[in-house]
Amino acid sequence: MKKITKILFGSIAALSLAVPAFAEKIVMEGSTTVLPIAQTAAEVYMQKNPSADISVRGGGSGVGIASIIDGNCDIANSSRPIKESELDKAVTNGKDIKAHVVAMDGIAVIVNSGNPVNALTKAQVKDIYTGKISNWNQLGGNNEKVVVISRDTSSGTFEAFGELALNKEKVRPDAIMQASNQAIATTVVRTPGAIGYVGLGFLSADIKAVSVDGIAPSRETVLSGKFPYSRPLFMYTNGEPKGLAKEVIDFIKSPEGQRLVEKDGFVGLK
Amino acid sequence: MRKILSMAFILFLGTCVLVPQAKAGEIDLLVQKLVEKGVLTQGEAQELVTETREEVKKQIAKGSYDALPAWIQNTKLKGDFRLRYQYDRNAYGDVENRARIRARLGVESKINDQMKVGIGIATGKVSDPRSTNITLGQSGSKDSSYNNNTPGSFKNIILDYAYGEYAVTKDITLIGGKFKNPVWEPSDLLWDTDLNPEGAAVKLTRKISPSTDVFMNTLLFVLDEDITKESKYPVIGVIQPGFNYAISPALSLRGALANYFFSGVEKRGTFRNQSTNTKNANGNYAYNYNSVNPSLELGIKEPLGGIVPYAAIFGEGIYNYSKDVESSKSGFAAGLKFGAEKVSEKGQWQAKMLFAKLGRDAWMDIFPDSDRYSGKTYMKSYEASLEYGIGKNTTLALDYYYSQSLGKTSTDDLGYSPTHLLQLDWNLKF
Repeated sequence: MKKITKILFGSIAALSLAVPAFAEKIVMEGSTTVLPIAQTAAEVYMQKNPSADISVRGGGSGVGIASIIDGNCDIANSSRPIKESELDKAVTNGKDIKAHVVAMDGIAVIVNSGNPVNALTKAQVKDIYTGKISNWNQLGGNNEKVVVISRDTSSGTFEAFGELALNKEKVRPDAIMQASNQAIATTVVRTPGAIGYVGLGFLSADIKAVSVDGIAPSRETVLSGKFPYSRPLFMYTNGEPKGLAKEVIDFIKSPEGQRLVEKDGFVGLK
Repeated sequence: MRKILSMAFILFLGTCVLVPQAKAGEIDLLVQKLVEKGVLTQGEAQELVTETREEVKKQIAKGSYDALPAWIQNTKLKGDFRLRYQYDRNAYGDVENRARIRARLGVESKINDQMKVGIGIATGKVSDPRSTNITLGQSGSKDSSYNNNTPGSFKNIILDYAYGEYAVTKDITLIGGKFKNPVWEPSDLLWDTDLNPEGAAVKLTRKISPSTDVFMNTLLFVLDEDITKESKYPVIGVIQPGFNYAISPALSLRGALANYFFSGVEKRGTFRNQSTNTKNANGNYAYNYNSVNPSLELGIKEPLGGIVPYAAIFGEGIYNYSKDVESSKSGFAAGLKFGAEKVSEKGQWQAKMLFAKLGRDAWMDIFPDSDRYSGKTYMKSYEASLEYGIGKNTTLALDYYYSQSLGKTSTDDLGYSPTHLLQLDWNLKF
């Protein structure tokens, strides 16, 4: 018993003292849509401030918001507003969640590059995703099965798309779920007949985005709100941000930070 | 200055009217006017309107919460219910079909910023710390007494946990009482998940780099009160240093090395006789169980091009280094799980496969998972399970164990004949 007690206390003391103090560290966690913004800002900021230590993780908007409510991260990245149920939990946990809008984004609807369809209406997008349209020939395209790709339920992009495009109706049960914007983009590029949706920042030369109600997703149409699937991108903190968290958010909102946001393919606020 | 005044005015307007839908439209109109007049850019307008809406939403939530009594604000109620069908075929070929239920109800209350208390009750048998199941039967009797020598018909409400917790700092937590096992293991090779140890624990965590944090779990598990002058106080001391390492955004590694120190067990009368640990001529434990237990788990997000959201490969070993233990003093478990990382929503699923082997004196036979060869040692076992979400916080699960003794334990033992256990569960959590 004495031996066990000595070993226990010795180990506690050893762990507490052995780890040296480090410079200020923060953790940013959440949306895979906001992830490129957070990663770019973190890299540039740390180059300018070598003593800063910024860790950036994905997982989805829901994961990030749950993490800040549980006190496991300093900044929660989210591509959707915090839900009332999450706010209630935050209040119960004594957290004072504060929203910071860091960029605007559009959710682009993308199709496989072999698909001749270039434009869809909002009603058609909804009908595809809720199961009422299953063949591209119903939309003037090829006689080809529509392969619907969607995000998993922890995704803010999924929540935002559900609200903006589907009027909160359920996605068809045969939709293929993917865990990130990049996974959707890759799957649509590789799969004939596929349709998916990604944040504006994930569009590239080999990804074909269609217009919705005659409006193509672009900086101008997203900022003006003309593009139907426009949305703000958030970083949430517990209370007013302080220290390194404040510096990072201020940096992202600064003209330099907003230029980096635009470079990543999103729409800056400045 | 212009932006601050604009935001203050908009926030005032929003808070006054609590943003019903029609009034939210009026704020948009006001901000649009400011854009048209060149007071704000389009981007600044988006930023102001959105942040104001979020702030007002939060104030409404806070207002509703602050109206509740303090004791409700600080207290959480949680629980779960499980209905199980179980098919059990033992080594002798005897088959038992049982319907079982488990119900757990717990309360956790925050005493102050650093302390909280938790109390939980559950269904179960008073004599078995590894099970919270009760078997349905006896014509629906609510009787909890031992009735007509029919084991399994106990229907009791037991104390599941009762503890106090003190967060000394954000890295150091002290726990005392009866609480959830703080020792991490990737399988249930050594510890049944229903077994809550009694004693005290210290949990330490520390982030040492952006991708790495270390932890130390220590536990003092009191096995029994010291009721004789001769015997030592039977306790288990555990020290488990470990780490979490984010190799990449998609790969994570968790590892630990638990060190177990037993005192007052060797030559003591057995706690609950499972008949697999070696006994001396007096029927007491022949050996001690001081051991090391390395554990490792590799988590992979979207493996193989994202065909499943998550997969994990895990394994652990146990080695009893106590003196005089000559053989059958080690064991291990290795497995694979894939699907959702945690099943909590409709349509999510997780499959798991595991192989476990435990030597006769690798570990005390009163602790391992009671579903795997009745929780005994001197066995090998294959497990396959599938869990599927049928709604939020409700799942169906199928679990199958194929287990076998590593040899005969007594003259009338069938020894190598396998046992089969199949469980079908309906789980609900709140």
